[in-house]
Amino acid sequence: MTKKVQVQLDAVLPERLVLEDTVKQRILQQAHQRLDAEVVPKQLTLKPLMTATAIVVLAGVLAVPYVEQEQQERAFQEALSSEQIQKVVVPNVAYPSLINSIYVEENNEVIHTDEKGIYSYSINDKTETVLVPPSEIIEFSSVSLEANENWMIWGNSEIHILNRKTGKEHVLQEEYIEVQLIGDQILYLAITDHPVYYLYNLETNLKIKLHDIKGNGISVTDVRNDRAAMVEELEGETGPSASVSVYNLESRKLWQTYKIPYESVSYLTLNDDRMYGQFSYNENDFSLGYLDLDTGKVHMLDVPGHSAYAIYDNFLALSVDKGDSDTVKLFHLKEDAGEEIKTLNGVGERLVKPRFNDSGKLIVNGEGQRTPLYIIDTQKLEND
Amino acid sequence: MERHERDRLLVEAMDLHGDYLLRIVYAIVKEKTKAEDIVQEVFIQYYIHIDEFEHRSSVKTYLYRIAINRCRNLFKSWHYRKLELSHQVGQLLVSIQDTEEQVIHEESSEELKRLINRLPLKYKEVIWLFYYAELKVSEIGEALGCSVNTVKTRLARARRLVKGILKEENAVD
Repeated sequence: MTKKVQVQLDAVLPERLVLEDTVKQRILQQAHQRLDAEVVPKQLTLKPLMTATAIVVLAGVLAVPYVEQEQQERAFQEALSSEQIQKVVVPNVAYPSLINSIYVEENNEVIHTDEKGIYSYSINDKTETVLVPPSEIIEFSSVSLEANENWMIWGNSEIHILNRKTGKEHVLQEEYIEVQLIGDQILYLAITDHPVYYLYNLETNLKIKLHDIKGNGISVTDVRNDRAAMVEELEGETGPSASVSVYNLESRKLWQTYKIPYESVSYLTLNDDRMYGQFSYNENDFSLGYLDLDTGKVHMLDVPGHSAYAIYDNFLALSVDKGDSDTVKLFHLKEDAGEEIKTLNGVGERLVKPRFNDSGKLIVNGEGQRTPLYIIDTQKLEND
Repeated sequence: MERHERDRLLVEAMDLHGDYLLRIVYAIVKEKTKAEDIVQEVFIQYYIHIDEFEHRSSVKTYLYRIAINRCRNLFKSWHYRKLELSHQVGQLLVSIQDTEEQVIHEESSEELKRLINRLPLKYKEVIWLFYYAELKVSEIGEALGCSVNTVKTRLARARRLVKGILKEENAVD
């Protein structure tokens, strides 16, 4: 479908609109000139005496964090050797593929795509298997990929379904913008006519309409323990608000609805009795908090500023600023505040893309040598 | 990074993404020369900052993010275009129903062109990035600097605005 829409959009453009080789050459030349112009010789302005003084002062100041860092590095190494943390190197896979990879715990495998095909890397056997052979038709870089031990789904505007036990593949001709794999079912948001959430049983091919989006907005949904939460934005006389619908996926019935005074809630994560998310009054101002599903009240968390978060039970992973970049830090939530668990600080490389799997293991990517994946068993960390 | 490696990465990026980038920028700014200028600047910025590229996003997302920002800057400086756009947006939003009925009868590429061109910039961006550049919703969020939720909302609204036109049976295989 996307390819067909692409053809329609192509018809809107003038014919033969391409980046000509002459233009590419011109860009290359301009790029050389601009790069040369930006390289300014560094001037040594510090006088030797000032430099020596600064070094002595700095040495004193830096000594304390150095000792702390050494302790954290030791703690990290101990966590590796006691298998609280597993370091996985998937050989010969480009980093952009790894940061979008999926860890399937049941098979102890990493599923990744290189824009041509989809592959499984067995952590136990250190071997790679082709799940979907390279294709010129689908660009896998632009697909949503979900997998568990039994199923794999991917696609862009139509849903490809692979039964991993039988090897059979079929395509669900639905235009969608969001899909989640939940055991033997998928929950997806179809946008063919108007936005509707459907629950589709992969075993029986039975499709059930779950929720009509009536508001202006469309939620990011999350599922846990047979519950799914959806958020839509409503325009009211008193201003915008968000409506949260929580469904029981077993009974396929609406369990509860909440109306909360926020324009939107994004990046939802359901826990037992809480729905976490970024609550915002406008597009640029948001805070991490949760909707208490028992009381219907929203509470904000007292945690550092961050660019990404992942949460499972009382464990919270945040991408927080570190120098000019950022890295992932792990926190224990206590009374709505984050208490840092410093084990990860000893990793010695930048960590990105925190995500928890269904059993509560935290997966992060490292940007150091050989760009490893780290799988952190939070339960073992807690019991230590 | 060595210059030859930098050159290689730039040429690779231009070969892989140059045509699509040019077409999408053209779709937004509507002038070939302006579109080429923007695309040139996008690739030069990529070349200069290649060392700082941390792979937080893919090269493709990174290039589209710079391109979209350049387009927006250009629009900011074109007051008359902005005024014209605002006028068109107003017309479009109050007559969605009329438009929906109208498109049932007028499914030509000219009509699509007219509708797409009349879309507000924020809806135009998501339509082109999703359907043409085939970016994921999360990548569009990165490129546009907004949340996934916002992208989905815009995408759904954009589709409603061009409802009936972007559909399968009207397309050519």
